[in-house]
Amino acid sequence: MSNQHAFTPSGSSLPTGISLKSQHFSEILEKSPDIAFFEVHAENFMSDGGAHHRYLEAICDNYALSVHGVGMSLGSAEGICKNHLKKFKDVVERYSPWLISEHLAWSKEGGFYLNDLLPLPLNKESLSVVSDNIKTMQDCLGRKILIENPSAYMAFNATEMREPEFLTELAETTGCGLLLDVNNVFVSGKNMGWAIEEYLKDIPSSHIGEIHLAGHTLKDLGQGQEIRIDDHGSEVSQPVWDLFTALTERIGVRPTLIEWDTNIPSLDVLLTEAGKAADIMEDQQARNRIHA
Amino acid sequence: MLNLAELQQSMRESIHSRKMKPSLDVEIVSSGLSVDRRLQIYQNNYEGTLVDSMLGIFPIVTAFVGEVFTRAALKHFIEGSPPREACLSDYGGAFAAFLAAYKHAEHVPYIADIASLEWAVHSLQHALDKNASESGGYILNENSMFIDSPFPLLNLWMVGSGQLKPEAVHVDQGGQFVGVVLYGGEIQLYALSKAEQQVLGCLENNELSGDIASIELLKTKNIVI
Repeated sequence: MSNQHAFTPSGSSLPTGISLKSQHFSEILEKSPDIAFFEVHAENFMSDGGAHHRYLEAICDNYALSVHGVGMSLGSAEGICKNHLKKFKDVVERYSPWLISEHLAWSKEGGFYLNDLLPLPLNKESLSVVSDNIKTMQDCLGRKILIENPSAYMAFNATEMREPEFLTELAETTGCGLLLDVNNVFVSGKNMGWAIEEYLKDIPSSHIGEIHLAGHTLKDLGQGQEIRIDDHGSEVSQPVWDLFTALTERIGVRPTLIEWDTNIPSLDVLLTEAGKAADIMEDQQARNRIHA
Repeated sequence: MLNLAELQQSMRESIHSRKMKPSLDVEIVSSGLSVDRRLQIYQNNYEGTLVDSMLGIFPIVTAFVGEVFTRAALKHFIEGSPPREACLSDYGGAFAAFLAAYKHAEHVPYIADIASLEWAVHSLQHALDKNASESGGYILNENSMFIDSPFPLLNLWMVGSGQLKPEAVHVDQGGQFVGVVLYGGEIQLYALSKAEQQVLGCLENNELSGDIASIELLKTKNIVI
């Protein structure tokens, strides 16, 4: 599986990135912030033309790019949409991204698209479906992709496997890597009552190719009930930073992205959050040097 | 117990109808939060992100009728015409036709034409700019769209975008034929004259006919290239 790409992070900077939002296009080109990579949603660049393409082409002259899909529906029992896969491939060929990722989720059924990352029962049947769809996607792109754990708000009685076990099986069956979203692990763990630290320890380090960090919202539903919503609209919470620190101690440095999709703040806010991630990774590297 | 295809069909139908199907209910783990509330999170995500995405495409419609009205109209539109593709920038072309038949919009009869104009602008913003230079002849620019409105559409659009004061426009002042054109990476909007409209009608039939001044005027507007 090829890993060719046009631009990779270089120099001594740590591989931290931020979501690329249209509100920040001009400022990024003007100020050239010290960041290793940007991430875009593939679906936002599937049109033939537009100013957003011109901006992204200019930004890619100086930065590495991660293309993150949200609509491939790798968990669909009916298979993935060939037309969507073709459009995704066009984006990949146009930008030669450093990283490519999608989700362990489904969103397409019966000719309809539900713009959300819907949950799957985790069992042998779904493992076979998702594995086949990942292989189709990787074969088409000629590239290894990373699969991200989604935020969960419900589970199914048909589930037979824990999510870390399912993701590990996927990676070993298909050769894909994993994009570990620490915020999603925290949100799902709190919502579903999972053992969060155990989840993170159970993902083999060798499969983790990227980390996502993001903010979420805690909603009080009354009567002692609460739910965490993964809305990517605020700073990373302290418990998620703590989990990221522990994860970095275990697996070392990985490309790490600050994801922000709603209530878009100033570019400085995103860069500050990325700086926090870089500080944690730098501390870890310093400790490793002392031990060495 | 449902197989994966059956479960996904049941969940998709439950989200679209905002009503839990009994076949899905028994599949969901029931602990703590009720299964209905858990499904409601996905229903809200689905509807909320679609509405937010479309509000970004129709800001002038929103400026005229307010966000509460637009959100309610979009919810009804989504219910009747759910998306079929993952590329959401292609979704919403039928919203203008929906508004034209929407009984709650009867008091704003021009709003459907404003939605048509906003969709034309949005579509051309995502189109490949094929006309980087003049053709040397008289060809209709492929990246042009037209809306023939019985209302002063471009003037209303300028009111909605804050370029004209509301008192400068009256809905009964007569219709406008509006051209939206992408050329050299920029979108331009024009109110076209009857003579220009006639030239365009001929060009669509691959005929160059009409008064020379109108043809040349369309060329300066990059509608004819």
